Amino acid sequence: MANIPEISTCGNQPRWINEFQNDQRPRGNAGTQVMLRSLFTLLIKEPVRRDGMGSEQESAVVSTAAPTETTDRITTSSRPRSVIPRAKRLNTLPKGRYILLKKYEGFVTSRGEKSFTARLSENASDYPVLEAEFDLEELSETDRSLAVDGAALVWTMGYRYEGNTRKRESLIYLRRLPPWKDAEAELAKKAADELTRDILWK
Amino acid sequence: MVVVGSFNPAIFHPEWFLRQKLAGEDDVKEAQVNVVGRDVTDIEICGLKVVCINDRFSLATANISHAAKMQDFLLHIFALLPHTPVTACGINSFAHYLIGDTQYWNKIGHTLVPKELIWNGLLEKPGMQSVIVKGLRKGDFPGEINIRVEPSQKIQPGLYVLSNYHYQMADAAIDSDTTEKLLNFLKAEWKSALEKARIVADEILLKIRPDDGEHS
Repeated sequence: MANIPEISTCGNQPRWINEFQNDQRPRGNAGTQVMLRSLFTLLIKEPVRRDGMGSEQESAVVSTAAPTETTDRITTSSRPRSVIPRAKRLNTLPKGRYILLKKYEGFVTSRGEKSFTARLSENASDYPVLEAEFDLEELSETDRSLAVDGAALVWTMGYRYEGNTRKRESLIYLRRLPPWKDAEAELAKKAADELTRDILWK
Repeated sequence: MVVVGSFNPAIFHPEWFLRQKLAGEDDVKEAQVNVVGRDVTDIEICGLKVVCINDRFSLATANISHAAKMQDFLLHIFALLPHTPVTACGINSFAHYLIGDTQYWNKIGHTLVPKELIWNGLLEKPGMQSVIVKGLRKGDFPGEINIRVEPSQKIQPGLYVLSNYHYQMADAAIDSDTTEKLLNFLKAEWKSALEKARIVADEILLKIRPDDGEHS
């Protein structure tokens, strides 16, 4: 016999009785903490398919339950044909494992036909900073247009796991930051002016 | 990253990310769509997992090299949806550390949760399963920092450290600038929030040293 989970019925709408497990229940104001292992089960109400019923009653269709004894019983009786809802466990974290070896942040200082140069540092306080030249071929075709003077970038190196296979990976990411707002530009200009004024030139 | 508020999950479709130039065409082709609907969205795009239900939005990655991309996504998403009511948000970062030696691993647990005073008399072989320490965060975005330390479930013997930068906002119904606050919080606290789990783990491993003969 198929293992049929508990369903409560409210009118003709089958609903899941869904409760957080103790260790998954948000506690106090810790509502933005990742739940234990970042799993939480979500109530997904699948539609009750009734003959002649329009799409206005349908909510997100996630999956159709495999035929079970209950569905068979329902469909062979004179009652409206229903689809048994199925709880879907949402995992907020993607699977994967990564070991970070190095991370540099910086910006593009110049761009040539086949390469670009960037100034990079591990920490903002690092001096002297690192200058590196990269082939444009290191970037995907769509990202190459982003490598312009001043563009922010992040260069990471690490080990990425694919099952039992460990791969060394070097990744250059050109940042897609939202454009500066006028107020932000004004603040930055003010800070730069103050900094310039405080430098005691000799 | 978890944002608590009021959301419309249906809009977070890969095509929306393409239209907003957050993702390229190839990214959209490779995106994994588990569900996109009125009540829930669960997709993976550009190495990021987007899960949205009506009162919660989360963006996550298991690959720290995507952290900058994740911040860009968040800044863009909430700049594009400036009227989203947001009540709280949290930046969570975690890491697993391999502890080479079981004795040393036990020592870390016994030091964080001493057993002599209470637990040895109450339980047989008491062991630390989880420790949560809460602290305050001052500055422009006051809130809480929650640190959780547990034995790692991924690598054994290992240590799992999670940090949560929680930022509680004023009532979204009376405060119309919650999205702006969220964006400013993301810009100001992102780096330190990502670093926190590593800093805590470094401190634990520095202050609790293996006994002679053990290897860390």
